[in-house]
Amino acid sequence: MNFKTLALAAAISATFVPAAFADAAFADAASPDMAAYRPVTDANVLNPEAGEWLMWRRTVDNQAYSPLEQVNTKNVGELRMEWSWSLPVGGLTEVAPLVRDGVMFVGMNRAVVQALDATNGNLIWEYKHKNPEWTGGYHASQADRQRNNIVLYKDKVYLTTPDAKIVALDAKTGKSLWESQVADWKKGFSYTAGAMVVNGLIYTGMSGCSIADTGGGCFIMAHDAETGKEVWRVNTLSDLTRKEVEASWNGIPPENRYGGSAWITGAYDAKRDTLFWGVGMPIPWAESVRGTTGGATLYTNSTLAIDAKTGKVKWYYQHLGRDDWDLDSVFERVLVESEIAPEAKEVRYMSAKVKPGKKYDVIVTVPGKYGTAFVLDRDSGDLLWARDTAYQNVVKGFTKDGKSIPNADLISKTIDQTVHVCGGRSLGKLWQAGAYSPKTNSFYFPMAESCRDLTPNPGEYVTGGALGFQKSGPAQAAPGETNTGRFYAFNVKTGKMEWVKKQAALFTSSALTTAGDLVFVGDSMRNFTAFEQASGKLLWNSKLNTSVSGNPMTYSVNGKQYIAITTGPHAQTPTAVAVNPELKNVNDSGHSLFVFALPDAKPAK
Amino acid sequence: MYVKTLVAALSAAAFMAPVSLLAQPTNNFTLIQGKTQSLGKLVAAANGQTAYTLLTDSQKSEEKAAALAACDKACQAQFTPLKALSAKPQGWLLAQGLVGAVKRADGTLQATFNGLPLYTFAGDKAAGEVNGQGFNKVAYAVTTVGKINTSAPKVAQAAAAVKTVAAVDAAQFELGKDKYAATCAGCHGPNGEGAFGAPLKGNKMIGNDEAFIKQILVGSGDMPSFAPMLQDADVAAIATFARNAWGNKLGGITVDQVKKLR
Repeated sequence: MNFKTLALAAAISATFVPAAFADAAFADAASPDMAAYRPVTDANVLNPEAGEWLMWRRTVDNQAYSPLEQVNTKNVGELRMEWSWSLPVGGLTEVAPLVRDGVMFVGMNRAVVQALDATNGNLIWEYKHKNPEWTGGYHASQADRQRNNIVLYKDKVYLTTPDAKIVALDAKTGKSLWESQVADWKKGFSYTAGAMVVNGLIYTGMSGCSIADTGGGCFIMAHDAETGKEVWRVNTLSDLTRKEVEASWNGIPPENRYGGSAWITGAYDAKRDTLFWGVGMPIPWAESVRGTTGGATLYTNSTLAIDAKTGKVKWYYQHLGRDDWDLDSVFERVLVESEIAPEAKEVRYMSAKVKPGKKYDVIVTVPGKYGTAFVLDRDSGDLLWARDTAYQNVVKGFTKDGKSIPNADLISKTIDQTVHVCGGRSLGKLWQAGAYSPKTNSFYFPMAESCRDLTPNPGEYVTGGALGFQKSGPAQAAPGETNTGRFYAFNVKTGKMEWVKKQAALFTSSALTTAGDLVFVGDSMRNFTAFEQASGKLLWNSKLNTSVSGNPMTYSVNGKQYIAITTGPHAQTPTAVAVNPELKNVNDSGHSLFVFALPDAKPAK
Repeated sequence: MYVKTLVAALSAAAFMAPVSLLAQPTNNFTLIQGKTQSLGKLVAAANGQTAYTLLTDSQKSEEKAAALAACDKACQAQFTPLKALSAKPQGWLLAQGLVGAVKRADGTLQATFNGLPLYTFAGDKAAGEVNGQGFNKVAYAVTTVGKINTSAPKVAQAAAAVKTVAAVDAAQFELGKDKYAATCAGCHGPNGEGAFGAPLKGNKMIGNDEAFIKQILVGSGDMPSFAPMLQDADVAAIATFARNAWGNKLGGITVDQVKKLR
């Protein structure tokens, strides 16, 4: 492309030129030259250029930390909107924009992808996947939620679709190069999360395994990045190589097991060539309906360490066995290197094996709706420490060797027994991912804190229908609390809660950390906010058009740092109104993308 | 790439994959979800024969005595205990927690559903037949949620009856529009297209008055109960709106209908 023209145009626009030049400034002629788009190499995937964002959480360790620091604690107050863009698709907004070579790639619901000029939002190309006619209520709704991440690799954009396909698009044109039908969407299988692609393999987790015809297991899979051919798959509900997995289903054979959707993209550890991937809850939600009395239902609610070449499960750690409450321990696994020295008063469990002063490669995760934070050793899968964040009553404690103990008192004995569960069911931790900052060695994550009554309620298996089969009362605030929105910051080394934000409005976007000592997050009352990482001090806030949702990210083009966020409806918001009726949420439409920058940021040349 | 890797991976996949993507009931299943023209979905034996519960097994002594009086040995001989394949029998497309077995006096295992011992009927010759339904007022099919289905089999109509829909009150529709936007649109979409919640546009299931009202009042799955938040008039308005917006033509819901079900 013509870098010079663009730089000139940007320079002119930034300096309030006379009207005579305005046409030139806003002619938008110099959109990125797609012929110059550079294929993403494995080296880029493992160590992206500072100004780029190539996958959901930027890096394979899922940290969502950017080394950019042009926008920082000193100047963030001057941040102002640079450009905005209406998203062409409705549903829940869980968008994660990506940027390379000055091009922003936006993956949306119903498998729509757009490529935009990252400096002004001008459309370069659009791909619209041809979706089938859905056969059931829940099934159809899958297409309108959690289309949260596409990924860039080599000269392609990889897209996973609600009809259970992997689609490879030409990054330069948006043309579909091939489609790989991974599972039968008619049975209920669907992709609601995107891929991790590295070393020539596409890694994905299947979703929709809570739907009537999906009995037999859910999968984490590898496909060849050039051909789309399957290389291996792990069944999340059965492992014939481990007796304890088969024994944990109370005699239910593999073909009659449901659940275990792996609906959040995992992390990749290059040193170990290992994937760390979360697995969701068992189905139906209540043990008394599921028929697994007493069984831990492995690998549900677990972290799996998977050999990236062969698909062998090296180890597993189950965060919550005997889940009776749909607590879904599937959320982001974040890879961090840190000393580990938990403070006894801060944590509920600390491993006796931890050696002071030693640097550990750990997984930091708040895997389930109940909000308990876990730090696991990446080699052994041992729990190093765990702590509660929101109030919860579902994890009773831990054994000496770090196994979590579910609260059996809250497991309904019969199909009409109501239990009062504080675990964030429908209003807890969700897909909104936390971000880690190496500057503070802290993890920042949004969630909601709530309790509710749950009663098993067997229902009919209907094609395309979900098999949760549990009635729930309205959300309630946790004991002693008056609202449900939470944004937590805890230290990975010590387990100390550094600070917490409590408010009525839910924090409805993922978090973003930057080398500018900032952490960004959005809420359901239209606030997009920057806090100082160390103190939690509010430094900047902008009211946008509707609930702030999706995944904030930052990038740089020609030396100028931009911060992007999407807005649109959010699933938990109406539920929170049960606790705080004063919340007036904008639920309708408004799906948008906003991009901010500093007013005086000048192009590099 | 990777010829070696691929081979190793494929062998691993071959080892791990066989339990996946099984769609049809295997020999492992004692019970399946049966589909009948005349009684809808019900619990069936693995071959599709309708499973019945007999009131002669009733826990209520009066009911049991009456059933024994109504169904003598010859009557009872028409029903064969449905054999469970194991002490932990499996059900296909049925809530597995309701599937069980009891040991009979002769030591054989009989399948149960929601605690109800199950039988097949000598007069049923093929899958989907319900000739035993109401036999001597003792034998009844069992719904897939474990309830005894005492209704009479529906006789197929030569011509479908023309269903008339209830009138739609314009003021109620307008109120419903506002309430829907504030309360429902977040999950079900501003135009009923569905999102986190099921689509309502074109959804014929919401044409069932009672089921739809109860869905709003009680909730299910991810949908919470809205009974504490919404007045009867609000529920009626929302239901009326959703049933008659976006091309839906399913008729109005009255406040009284909601009141009765709350």
